[in-house]
Amino acid sequence: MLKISPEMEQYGNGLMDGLNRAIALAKEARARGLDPSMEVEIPIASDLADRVEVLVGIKGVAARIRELESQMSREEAALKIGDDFVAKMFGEKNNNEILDHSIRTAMALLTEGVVSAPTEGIAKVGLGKNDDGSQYLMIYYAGPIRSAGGTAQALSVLVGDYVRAKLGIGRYRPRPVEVERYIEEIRQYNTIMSLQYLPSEAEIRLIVENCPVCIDGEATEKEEVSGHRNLERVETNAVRGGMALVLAEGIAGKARKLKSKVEKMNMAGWDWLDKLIAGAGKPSADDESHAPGVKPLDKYLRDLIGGRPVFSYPMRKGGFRLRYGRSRNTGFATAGFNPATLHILGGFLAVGTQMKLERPGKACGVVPVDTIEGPTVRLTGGEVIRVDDEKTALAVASKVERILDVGEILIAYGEFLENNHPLVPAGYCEEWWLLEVPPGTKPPQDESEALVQAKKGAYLYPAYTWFWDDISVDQIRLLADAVSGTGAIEEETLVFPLDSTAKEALELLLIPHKVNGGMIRIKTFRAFIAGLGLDGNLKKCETWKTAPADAQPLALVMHLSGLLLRSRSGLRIGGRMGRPGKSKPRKMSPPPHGLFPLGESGGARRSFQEASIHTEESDAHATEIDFEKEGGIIEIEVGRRRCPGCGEITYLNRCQKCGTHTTPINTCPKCGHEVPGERCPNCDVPATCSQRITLNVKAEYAQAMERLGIKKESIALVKGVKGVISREKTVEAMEKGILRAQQDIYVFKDGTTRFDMIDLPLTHIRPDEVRVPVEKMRELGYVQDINGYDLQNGKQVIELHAQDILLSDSCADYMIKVTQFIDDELTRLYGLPTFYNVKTRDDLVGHLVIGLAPHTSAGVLARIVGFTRANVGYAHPFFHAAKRRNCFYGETKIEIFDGRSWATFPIRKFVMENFDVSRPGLDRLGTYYSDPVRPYYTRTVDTNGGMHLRRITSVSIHRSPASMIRFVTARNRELTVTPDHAMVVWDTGYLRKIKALEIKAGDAVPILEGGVVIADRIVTAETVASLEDRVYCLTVAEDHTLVANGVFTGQCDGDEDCIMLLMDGLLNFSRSFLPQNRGGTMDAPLVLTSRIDPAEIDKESLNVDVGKSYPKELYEAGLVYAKAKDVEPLIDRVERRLGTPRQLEGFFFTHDTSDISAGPLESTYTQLKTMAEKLEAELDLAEKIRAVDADDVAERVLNTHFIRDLMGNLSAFSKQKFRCTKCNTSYRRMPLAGKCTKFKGKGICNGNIIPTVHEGSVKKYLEVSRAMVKKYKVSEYCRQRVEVLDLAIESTFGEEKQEQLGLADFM
Amino acid sequence: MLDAQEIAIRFLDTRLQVHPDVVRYIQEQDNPDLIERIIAGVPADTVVVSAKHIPGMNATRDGMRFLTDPTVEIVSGGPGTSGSINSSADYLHYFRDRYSKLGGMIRNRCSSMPIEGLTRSPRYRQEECTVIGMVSEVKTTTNGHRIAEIEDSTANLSVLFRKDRPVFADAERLIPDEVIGVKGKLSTDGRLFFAEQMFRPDIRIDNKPYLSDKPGKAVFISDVHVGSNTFLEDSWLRFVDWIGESGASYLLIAGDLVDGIGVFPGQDQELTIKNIYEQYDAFGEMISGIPHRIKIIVAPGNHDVVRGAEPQPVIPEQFTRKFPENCMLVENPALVNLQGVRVLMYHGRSIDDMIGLIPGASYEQSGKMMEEMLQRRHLAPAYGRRTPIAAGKSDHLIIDPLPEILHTGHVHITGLTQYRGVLGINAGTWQSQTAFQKQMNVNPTPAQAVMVDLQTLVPETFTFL
Repeated sequence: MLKISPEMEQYGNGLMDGLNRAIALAKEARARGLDPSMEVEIPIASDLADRVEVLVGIKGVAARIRELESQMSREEAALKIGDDFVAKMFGEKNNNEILDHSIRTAMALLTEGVVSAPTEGIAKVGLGKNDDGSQYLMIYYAGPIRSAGGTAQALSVLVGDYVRAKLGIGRYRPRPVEVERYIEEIRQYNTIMSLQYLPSEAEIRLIVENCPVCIDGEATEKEEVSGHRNLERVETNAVRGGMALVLAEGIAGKARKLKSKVEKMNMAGWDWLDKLIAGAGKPSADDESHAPGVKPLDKYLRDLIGGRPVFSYPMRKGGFRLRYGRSRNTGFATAGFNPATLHILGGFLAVGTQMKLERPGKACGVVPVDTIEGPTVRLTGGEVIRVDDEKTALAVASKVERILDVGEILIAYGEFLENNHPLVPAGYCEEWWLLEVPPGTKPPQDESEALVQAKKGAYLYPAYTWFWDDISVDQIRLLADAVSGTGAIEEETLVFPLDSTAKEALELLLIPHKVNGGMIRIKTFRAFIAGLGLDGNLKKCETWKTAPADAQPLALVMHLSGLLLRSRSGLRIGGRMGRPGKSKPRKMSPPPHGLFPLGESGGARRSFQEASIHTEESDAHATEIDFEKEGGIIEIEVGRRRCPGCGEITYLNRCQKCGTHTTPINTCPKCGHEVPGERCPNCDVPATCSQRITLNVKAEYAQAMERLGIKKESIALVKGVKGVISREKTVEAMEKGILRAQQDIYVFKDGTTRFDMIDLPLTHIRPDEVRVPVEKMRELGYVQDINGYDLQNGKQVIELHAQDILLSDSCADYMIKVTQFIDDELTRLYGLPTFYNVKTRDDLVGHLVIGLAPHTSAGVLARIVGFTRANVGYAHPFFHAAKRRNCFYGETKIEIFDGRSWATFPIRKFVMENFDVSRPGLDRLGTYYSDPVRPYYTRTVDTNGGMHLRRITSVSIHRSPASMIRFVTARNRELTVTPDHAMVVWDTGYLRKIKALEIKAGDAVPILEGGVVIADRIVTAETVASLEDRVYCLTVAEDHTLVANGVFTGQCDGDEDCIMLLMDGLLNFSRSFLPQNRGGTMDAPLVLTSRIDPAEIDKESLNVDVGKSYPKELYEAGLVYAKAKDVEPLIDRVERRLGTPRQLEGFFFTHDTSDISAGPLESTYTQLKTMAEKLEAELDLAEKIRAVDADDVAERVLNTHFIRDLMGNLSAFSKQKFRCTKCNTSYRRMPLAGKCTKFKGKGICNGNIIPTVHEGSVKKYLEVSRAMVKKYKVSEYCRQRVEVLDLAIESTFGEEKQEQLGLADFM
Repeated sequence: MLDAQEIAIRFLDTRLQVHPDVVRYIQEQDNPDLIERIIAGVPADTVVVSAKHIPGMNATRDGMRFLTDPTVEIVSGGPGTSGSINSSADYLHYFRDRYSKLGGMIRNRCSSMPIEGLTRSPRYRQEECTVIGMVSEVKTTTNGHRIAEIEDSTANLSVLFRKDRPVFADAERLIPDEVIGVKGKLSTDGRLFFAEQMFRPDIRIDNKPYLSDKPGKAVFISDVHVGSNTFLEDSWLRFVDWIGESGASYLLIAGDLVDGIGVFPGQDQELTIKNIYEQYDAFGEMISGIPHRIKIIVAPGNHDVVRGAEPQPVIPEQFTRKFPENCMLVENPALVNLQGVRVLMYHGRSIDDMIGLIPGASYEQSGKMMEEMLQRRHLAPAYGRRTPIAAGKSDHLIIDPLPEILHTGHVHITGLTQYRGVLGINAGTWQSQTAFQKQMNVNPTPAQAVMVDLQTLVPETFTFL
């Protein structure tokens, strides 16, 4: 049960009231019968326990799960329920059943219960006999276990172990030959299917020898092992894919996660996981948890892409300085940066841009936080300043000569916990200082006061602590000598002659200073000279005489000054730019205004205008009489419906004669009889619900305009669709399209209008920054600020409710138009009063929307409470976590054409060339997308079944939903996609897109065979558990389809989460626009979650820390690299509040920020258009930043981008395929005829055959690579690689005639 | 059409076993009387009937062989013969050249007609005829038959090889882009050709190798991989000591002289010499230790600095500055004449492709792959896979004229084979098992050299581990 405070109850009720009010009006409108159904078609979700019970089919489980979940976490519940099975509470008869039921139930629970596959991923469980006579448990995994994700796979073993121990069954003791069999078999499986993570031999050995449960499996592959065959205790010689997956991707791949669960549940016999994490068999492995301290990690720098700059090398001086804390807009995989940092770093980082990090996670979203320190820069002329505000940053940006330090990065403790990363030392900062001085001590007013405090024994206040540990002892001596020898104090400023070595040391110390007249001038010099061991007269103190010879710099400074100091630098963190964010209306392609079919007659734009002047194409038999045919008569395929009132057959949702709502009727395509169900009982064929009608679209359009009272001339273009896609071929009222066209908004395939936004978390707002008046805020229920004071002015900070969101300005403008459309619709079409009455942006505040992740089935109710200038979707982390995302399963094979040749990759591999997801489990926020490294193409199919080559515009990674759908076709193609994935199916001659979950056995899908599109039938469509954390997708230009595993399917229709107006969803959404589903709540295309329960959403949100401050212990734990878990009890996180009303409110943050929309709003990366410009900007910035090695950046870009491209293209050139210019048929090699030999209807195509890889595409990066090896100090190896490639290219294409050009010519 | 099994049974009836070559020959002749004539002529103590028992069949060489002075001559594949690709039209020339040359070899054995001639008119349906085509696609039907799409310059044709016919065994080894002849009947609707017999441009059954009339020995090695951390330097030194004493006059190296740079990702981790120039210098110094009287013939491989696309040009001058005088550079492939004995040197990259395409093939039996090349008379039949091809006006990878010795490498496993008078040598490596091979479970046979007596063509393998 959701425990909440009365205030939250009230808030929730307020949302429900709004929802109910909207539903009431929508019902009234729907009752007019103009829509496919008289009802509002958005159902409400059921809870997890119910889903599990249905899934595993064990009565009574749901009640027990609810009971357990109220007491413990889900993982614990998954284990604990095993106790009930052991006690035979659900009628189990024997041990086998107990094991079977408990493992499956736990799996269902762990995979969120939305899937039907925990049942299929485990073929059976069995008991074997050890050589000592004891019994052991065998779990037979089957192929579908893949869809459960590594973590759930691994946990299923844990569950098995738990129950096994309870039942008194022994551990598995493998025979040596069995261990070897595992090693051979997993390797072999890897060559067949390529595992995401292939454990080393030692790792496999460690797992098999120690895992208490025997991970067994069914034969999933045709191939057999060659070595260890015919083993007594292994049933098959064939490769067991399920076993390999669980062992490799589950246990080995998720060892860290598994270990944290083992610890949480106090399970014995899993200590070997430590060894596994430490890296079995690799004693010198880069292990962070054992030896204190961390090593630089350069993983984030691998696969460096041209144009995405590096901001800091791993743990390099001058890199990002860690500051622990959470601001209002960080946590949940975002990190805070001073807006000045964002500007100084070339504007590549805008609000919402993704950044790849060295640690603790792999990536983070970028948000502005102005209460942390900005970068320190040297300006032309030598002045060094720290830039802490946006205004200064913009003013000095053009004068920056060198970026000495990129500033602080604000990372919440929860991020370390989430990623199971050890804590690391933070730079000394005010909040830490405050924890160490006696309570009540105030921060010093000036330097002198700080020194007085320090002399009393406190640590020196951070603002006056310089970066002593960044310089050497020699430099300290040198500075002391220089200052004491030649320095003087003039007008409260330390002045000494400019000297390059001293200047360098000062720059490392990051002490602000000026240079003029050949003199260095330091204003804040007192702590500085104290640190150098000089007294007020710049004379060396006595302490110099006792200075230890071998002291570390910081220790020496402490000795010299007699003050306590802490390191200001702490641990530096490396980072580079990831992908930029974006935010825009969701559009289909071509974008329609209404879902009204116009067939071919609508022209390329599918417009009513075009259709109205359409005349039947005159064919060879045309007679004179046909000549004067009237325009606008078109033939379209629509649903067949009958009016229950007067019996009229129509396609309209409301009978034109009597105004009654019509119902669809099914007809058997074979015998022509009307049938009640979906199949003809006599002919046993699926019944259809369609008819071809001839329609005078011109007249109908004119009538609709008249009904709406709109002048014909006022709308230039109204676009419909080519055909309707649902089984019932339901048509949307023409009027809706007209009204949308009037507002210039577009409809999505389900009848709604959506706007895509990238997710960023936000827990608190200021009325002023979201540009909403205080009175309005009070109306919305925000009557108190965060400190409990009455909300009076716009500067006060208020806590954002979990379901309140901000709209970006562009989104708000679009949504205003949508409200106007809906009001028009209500008044002019339904004859009801208006609902929104929105004129300005402010009027939008308080209205409800539905938030959706791409391709999800669950929408979340939200309320608009303000706006942001940034192009992002700021909302409560719970709101983001409540949405889920989807796409293709990673093993899906796609064919990619890179300009020269075709290659088949698993989609995961292809997408990963843009993203480093080699450390799974860290990419938390869900979808990441990027443009592909270079132009790639893939085959697409258009709505007529024509094949095209289209460009891939982006690749994306999404968080996997709990369930996926797997299809098998008659020709044995297999495809696993997310339930909401767009698929294409044949619909009498053309293709339409439908959601995967709506596909049924027997549907015809286009597949690619032998280079042509042919139809194939779906044999099975089953829901399987999602076995990976992620799913992948491509965005393909124009047709938005692609070939996956040989099957043409739709692609992801958007990368970001989106929102739609609540009323839009209620009024205009209809399931019957989408292909029919198999029933049940989980299959519903849209389930609305009206209230967020933190216990039921994505686990990451539980690690958001919500305290006002951190304890001293956190900072101290950081100094010794303690595990994040060690201080967990001291830190206020959402997880600790679960089950109490405080789980939803009373959140705080440690660092405020004055404006959540500060900093650049659009990344330089997206503003620069060509790769040359981006590369120039990237290298330019690299040369400026102290923490970046420009030569290395150049080398990395060469290695991971340009050389790879050159090599790939050259090799592809000599293996290239050919294609026909006329019909686009692809040939594996040049046909001997030299012409296209494809048979096309009447004869042979005879088109010209051209190569698919051209000299130009091979040489694309050759010149720029040559120029780069000249300009930058790249390694000899790299230089020679370019040279050798150059030679090979020349030998392939012959000598070049062009003259040499400089790097500048390409940049 | 005679059935292979039937033929074998006829021989077995007379207590004779029969060599598959003979069976094939009888099938090709399609003359049942021939069996009786062979049986009649077989000497009494014969157990296996082989080609020499066929009446009128005398192993012969066609033509004379002119001996040159000096004794080594590069017949084809000398420096500068592989050109660059000028235009896409080269691809058309390239495959047409392959078709006409290989097709010509088949045409000697059966009379064929153009595919278009067969399919255009209904006249030939149900009538036995022969067509020659290049395979464009092979697949197995759901019922287990094989269908090959073949084409000539006029048209294409689907050919069905039924699994219950003797021809099926041949069809199982069909690979894309080889040229075959098929005899059979067109279906009634003219869309499918039912094959009964298949011809490859195979070596004639009566082929007899040329033997040198003067004494001479040649040593064959490959895949030295200098610069790799798995290069076996000690073994190499032992080899150099041995070759001086061995009496050999020729050393042939079939590519991968050095490990190269950037050949595979992360290669720099496995190199002891990371500089490509220094790698060749080291190689040059290594072969300088070999007595100067021994001629060293060196071809490039896929690890070498030249382009990957075959034919690969000779290693450029700037890398060979430390190579001794007695070293001759050839392209990959190259045909070299040693005292009249012809050696076809080919690095062997296509073996990777063939192992993947031919059922039952494995790296351990590298000799078998050379037989497959000889049967197809092509070094790299399958286009567009792992072997990059630089299409020129003519196909340099065709095996014509027939060599006495086919010398390959690449797979790092020594393999020897005798096929219809041609000696196949896959020459192993001088590199121990690499990390990649370990992962792929490839067990190389390092540090072996094969010596062949040019007067007898008898190979002998020496190991220097």
